[in-house]
Amino acid sequence: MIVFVIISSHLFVFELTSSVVRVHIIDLLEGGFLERRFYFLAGDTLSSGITGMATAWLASSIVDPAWHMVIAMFAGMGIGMGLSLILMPVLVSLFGAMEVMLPVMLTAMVAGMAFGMAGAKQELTAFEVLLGGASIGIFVLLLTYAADTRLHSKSL
Amino acid sequence: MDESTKRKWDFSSGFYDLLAYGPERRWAPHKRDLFANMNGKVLFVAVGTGQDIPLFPPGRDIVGIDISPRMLAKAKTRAAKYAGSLDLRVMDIHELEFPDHSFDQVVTSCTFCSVPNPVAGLIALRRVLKAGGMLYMFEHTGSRIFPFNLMLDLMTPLWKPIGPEMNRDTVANVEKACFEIKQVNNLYLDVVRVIIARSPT
Repeated sequence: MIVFVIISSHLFVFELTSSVVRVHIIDLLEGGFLERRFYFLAGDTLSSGITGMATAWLASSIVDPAWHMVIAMFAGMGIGMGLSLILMPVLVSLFGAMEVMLPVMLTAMVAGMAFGMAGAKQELTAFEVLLGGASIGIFVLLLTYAADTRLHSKSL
Repeated sequence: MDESTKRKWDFSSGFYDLLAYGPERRWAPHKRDLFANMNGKVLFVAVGTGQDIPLFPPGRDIVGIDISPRMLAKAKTRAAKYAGSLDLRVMDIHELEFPDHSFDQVVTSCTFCSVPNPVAGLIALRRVLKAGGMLYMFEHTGSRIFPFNLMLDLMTPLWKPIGPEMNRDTVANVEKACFEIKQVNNLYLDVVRVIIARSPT
């Protein structure tokens, strides 16, 4: 179940970002990270990872298997958005504005949806929830980096 | 003077430096590069608490304005350390008190996310710029890319009461104000950008 949740949410995020920007992880391999300062790389990773874990934990704690899947999905999304707004002032003040806000909010939305739905399906262990949430956060961050590499210095 | 905007930024002055610690450090190298273009008589719009002042190149002749007296009071300490001419004044961008064509350059830094009427503000800047004068902008704007545009649209009503709007099309606003756009560089996605424009001759 957890593998399905992780893979499907990763595919969902990938589809979201790649549909317009045509982002590929290969962009990262070719272009490298544009942000090279360790403090900010670590901060970005921490921000998205913690947001993913916290959202997944909260969504799966609130939603239980009695809930309808669609209601659970939207509730999870709302929980994620609300939580990201609480975390954001701290994360932004430490690590950056848009560079933190966008991946954190996207992570919260996707992790909330995924673990809202997963919580409506069955009980998950704390390890599954935290691992899944963190992996969604890191995946979203990597896709955002890839989009940034593709868009950097390009005028529209 | 737009009293509600003044009140908003006076209020935000209490925690602005704390909230801007991360963003300012992240953007400092890009801003330093942009500010290196400062030359002649320069108008710097929205000085805020003066976080950008240490990034100014030394020896320039700069007038800095901001709508918030409390923000400017904090900026004075940083301004005092600047190795050049830096005159700080409380002023609303919509009611600039300078004569026409009195500046060689205008520089903005995260300004047009907050100016209540951005096109009118840009037109006011064009009035005080000399013909052919340069406008250098470091701005965060809205995105044209899904899902980033959705995130910025969702965040705008939440941040607006205490800070900036996240989803403005500042490049289009610069064009609407009849500036000639010379360059738009993306620094983060299509959201954090450097815009270089010229006042028509």
